Amino acid sequence: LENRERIESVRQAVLGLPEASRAVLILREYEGLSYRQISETLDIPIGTVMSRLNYARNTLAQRLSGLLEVR
Amino acid sequence: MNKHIEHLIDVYLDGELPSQQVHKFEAHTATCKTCRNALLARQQLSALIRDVPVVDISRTSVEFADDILDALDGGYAQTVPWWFELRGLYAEIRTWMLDLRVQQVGWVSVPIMLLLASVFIRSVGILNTIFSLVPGSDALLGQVFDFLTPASFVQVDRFWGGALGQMISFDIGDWTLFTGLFASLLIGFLYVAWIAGWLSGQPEADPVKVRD
Repeated sequence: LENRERIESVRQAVLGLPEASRAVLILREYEGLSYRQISETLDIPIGTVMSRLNYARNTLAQRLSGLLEVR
Repeated sequence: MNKHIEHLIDVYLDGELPSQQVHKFEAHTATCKTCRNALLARQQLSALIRDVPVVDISRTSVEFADDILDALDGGYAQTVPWWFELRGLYAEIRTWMLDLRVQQVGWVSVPIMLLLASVFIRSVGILNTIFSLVPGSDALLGQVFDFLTPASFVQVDRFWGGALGQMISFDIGDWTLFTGLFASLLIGFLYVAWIAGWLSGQPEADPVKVRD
């Protein structure tokens, strides 16, 4: 049950991200695409890929801080 | 080496850091506690995210692609209520009903099936009568088809109240011996017909519509 809640909160957090950064995060984390591949897939510069990824992860780290041990 | 390198953590974990910088990065995190903790936190976060099937990779490639599109588009898990998981079973039953053409016939099938049932009752009764004329049939019925003896049918009929059996059978006589059994069959049929009628009135199940 606890695990179920954990899964649900991660899912909600990921799907709650703004579309632009969510797309980059999903392509990176679940699809395993490289920065270059993501930049080609979404037709955005690599710098944008990195900043969106950073934003997505920072947001998730903030929202899911209760589930993380470090920090 | 004193400068913190937190901005490189993502790039490092994503395997995008140039190899000549990887050694520097690892040397730094070995000594700098702040950066090491930040790295650990990011690793944990990544593990947590990857652990959760926002996209279900065990499905077929087409469904998988749909999942990704849904996830990219948002709204999938947010708008689907828990009971929608039952849609597989529901679709299964619906398909089965459609295959049987019960949907098109609907309630018209009820009197037809009642008629067929009464014809069946009659034919079985006639066959039983013919069979009882065969010498030695009583002994055979008693030994092999013990549960088919008149006494057991009377018991079944009593179980269903008897009156129901008489209502369904049009001739009182030998027929009543079978009515208990067929009463239960008819109840089963009526139940299925009711489900079919109910299903035929249901709209297509497609709650996945809302998007952000």
